[in-house]
Amino acid sequence: MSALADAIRRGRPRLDLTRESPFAGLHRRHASVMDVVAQSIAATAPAGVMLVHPGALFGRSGSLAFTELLLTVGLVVAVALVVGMFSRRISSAGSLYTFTTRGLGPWAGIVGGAALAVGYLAIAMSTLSSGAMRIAGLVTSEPRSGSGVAVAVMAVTSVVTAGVIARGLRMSTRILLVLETIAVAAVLAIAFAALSSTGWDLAPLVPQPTEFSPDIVMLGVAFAIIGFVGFESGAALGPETRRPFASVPRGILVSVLATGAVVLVGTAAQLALVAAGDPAGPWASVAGIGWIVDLIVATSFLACSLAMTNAATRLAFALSREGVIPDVFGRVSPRGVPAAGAILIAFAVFAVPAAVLLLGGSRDDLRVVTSPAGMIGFLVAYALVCVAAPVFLARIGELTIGAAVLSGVAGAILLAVLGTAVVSTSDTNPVGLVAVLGILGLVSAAGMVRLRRGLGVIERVGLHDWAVAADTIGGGGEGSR
Amino acid sequence: MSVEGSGASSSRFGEKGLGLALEVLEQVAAHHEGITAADIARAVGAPRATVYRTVNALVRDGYLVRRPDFSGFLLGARVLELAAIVDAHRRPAHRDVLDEVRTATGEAVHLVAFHRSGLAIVDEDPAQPLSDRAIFLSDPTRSAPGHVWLVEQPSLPEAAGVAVERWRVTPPSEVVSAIHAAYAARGYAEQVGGLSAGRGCLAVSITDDDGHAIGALTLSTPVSRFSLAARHLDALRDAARSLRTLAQGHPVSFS
Repeated sequence: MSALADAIRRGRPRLDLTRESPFAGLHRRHASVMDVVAQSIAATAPAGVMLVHPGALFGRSGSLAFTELLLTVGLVVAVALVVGMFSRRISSAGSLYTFTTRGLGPWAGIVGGAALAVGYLAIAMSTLSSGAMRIAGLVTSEPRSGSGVAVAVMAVTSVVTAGVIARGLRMSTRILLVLETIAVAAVLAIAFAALSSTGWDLAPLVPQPTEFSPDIVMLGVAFAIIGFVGFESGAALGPETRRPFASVPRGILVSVLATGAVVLVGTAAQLALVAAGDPAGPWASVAGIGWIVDLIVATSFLACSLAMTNAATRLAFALSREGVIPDVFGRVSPRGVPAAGAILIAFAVFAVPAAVLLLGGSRDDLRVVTSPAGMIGFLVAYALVCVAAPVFLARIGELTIGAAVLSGVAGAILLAVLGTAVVSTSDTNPVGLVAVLGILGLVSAAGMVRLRRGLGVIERVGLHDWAVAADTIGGGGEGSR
Repeated sequence: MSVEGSGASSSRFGEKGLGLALEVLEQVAAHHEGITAADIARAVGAPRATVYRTVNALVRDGYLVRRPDFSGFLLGARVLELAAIVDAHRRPAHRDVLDEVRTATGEAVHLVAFHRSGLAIVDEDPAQPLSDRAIFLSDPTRSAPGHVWLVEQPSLPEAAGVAVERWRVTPPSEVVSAIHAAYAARGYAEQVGGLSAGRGCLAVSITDDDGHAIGALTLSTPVSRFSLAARHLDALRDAARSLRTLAQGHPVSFS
C-alpha cells in the first residue's frame, strides 16, 4: 500500500501542532483577492498621486521625470515579487514586519516593523490633512477659517475611518474600491482630454541625455516611490483571506501592475501639459475643472488615509499578539476585527495633524516630518524585506537563483535610493531628517526593550497564521476520523 | 510573471505536474514528522525549482501545510478529499484473504461485521450471493453468523459508512440457550435450511485482540455436501485470523 493511502486511512491526529492560530478571534478566511487589491490600491492612492506628483516630479527632474517613473514602476514590481516570495509561504497580519523577522530575526524585524509603522502613520496623517485641506479650500475661501474647517473634516473622516474598519474588513475594502475607482476613472478622463488638447505631444516624456545624472534619477525614484507605497499593505489581510497563499501574492501584483499602468498614463498626460509651459500649473489649461481636481485628490487621499490606518491596525494587531505592544491592539470585536486598535490608531492619525493646525501650524509644517518619514520608513521596510527574502528561502531550503538575483538587485537599488534620499534630505530638510531618524530610533529601541525584557516575547515574535491541527489530515484530534 | 512562476495557470497541474504532485504527496506521507522541499526534490529526483513550485501550489490549495517553523511539510486536510478516489481504486485488503479461501474451498464465503444491533455485510461472495439477504439480516436464528452473533452479543456501535441493518426478530430465550450450547460443543456455528431449504452454512467468529467478536466468516454449501463442509474449518479459521490483523486499529472493521 502507498504511504499516501496509508496516511489517509490512518488519519493520525497531530499532537505537535497547536489547536488555535495565534491570530484566533480574527474573522479568518472570508475575504477574497478583490479585497487585497482594494486595500493595496487604495493605500497607493493612484488618482491623487497622478494629480499631485507629476508636476513636482517634472519640477525636480525635467525631461527625466517620465523615465524615473518607469524605473520606479520596475522597482516596485520587483519589490512586489519579493513580497510574493514571502506571502506565498507566510500569512500574517504583520506583513513585511513578520517577513523580515522570519528572514533576519527579531532585532532586524523590529527595525523593519518600526519603519513600516512610521511609514503607515506618516502617510495616513499627511493624506488625511492634505485631503481635508483641499475640501476646506472648496468650502471656504477664507484662509483663517480654513484650518478650522480642515480639522472638522479630519475629525469626521477619522470617525468614519474607525467606524468603517470596526464594521469589518470587507466593508472597508469595498468602500475603498468604489472611491478609488471613481477617482481613477475621473483622472483618466481628464488625462485623455488633456492629451487631446495638446495634440498628443509625447516629446516631454523622452529624456534629454544632457540632463542625465545618476543622483537626480535616484532622488527622482525616491520621491516617485512615495506614489506607490502602501501597495504591500494587502499582505496584512492574509489571515482574513480565503486561500491566502494564492490571493495575497496575486492581489498585490495585480494592484502594482494596475496602479503602475494608470499612473504612467496619467503622468504622461500631465507632463505633456507641464511641458506645454502653462505657468498656472499643470491642470489650469483644462479650464474650470480646478474644483473637480481638488475633489478627486481629496477623495483619493482620504481613502488612502483609511487604507493606511487599516494596514497599521493589522500590524499593531500582530505586534500585540506577540506581546511587543499592549494587549488592547490585539483585542478583537465580536465581528472579528481589531476594533479597539483601529479606534486608537485612527485617533492618533487625527490628533497629530489636528494639533499642528490648531496650534497655528500649516500643512507644510506637518510635512516637514511626514514626507521624509513616509519615504524613509517605507524604503527601510522594503529594503529589509528584500534582504530578508533570500536568507529566509535559504533557511527553509527553497532558495532559487532567480529569487536570489531578484531580491538582491531590488535590495541593492533600494539601499542606494535610501542613501540618496537621506543625503538629499540632510541638505533640504535637516530638521525633518533628524526628527524621522529620532522617531525611527526611538520606536525601534522601545521595541527592542520589549524584546529583551518582555517575558517570552522574543520567542513569540514572527507569529503567523500557521497551520493548526485541524488543517492537517489528522483533523482537530477529536476522536477518530 | 514571477520568478517562481505563479498565476492562475499553475493551479491546474499539467499531466507531468500531476504525477509530480502525487509523488510529492507520497514523500510527505512517508515522513510523518515532516520533510523539507529540498529533501523532497532529492527523493523524487526532479529539478528543485519545479518541486518548489509544486509544493507551493499544493500548500496554496490546502493539500500540504507547512510546519509553523517552516522546517517541513505535512499532509493538509484537503488530502482527505483524495480518499474517495483512493478508495475507489483501492482493492480492499480483505479481498485477497477472501479470494484465497473461496478458491481453496470452492464454496460461497461471505464476510460480515458485527455491531450491537445486527450485522453489516462487508463482502458477499460475488459468484454465489446470499440466498435470502433480507432474512439473513433480520433474524439471527436463521443463519450461522446470526448464531455467532447471539452467542457473542457484540457491543460495537454501528459503523458509519457501511450499510447496517438491525435484527427485526428477537428469538425466545430457550432457542438462544440451545444455540449457546450447540456452539459451545462445536466451537463454531451451523445452520441448515434457514435461508433456503436446499442449503446450509457454518460460521467462525473473527475476534479483536481482546477476544471480542467483531465479525464472522461464513461458508455456505448445498445440503448434499453439507456433512463434508467441516473439512473447510481450518481454512476458515486461518482466514479469520488474517482478517483480524487487517482489522486492527480500525473503527470500521475490514472496510
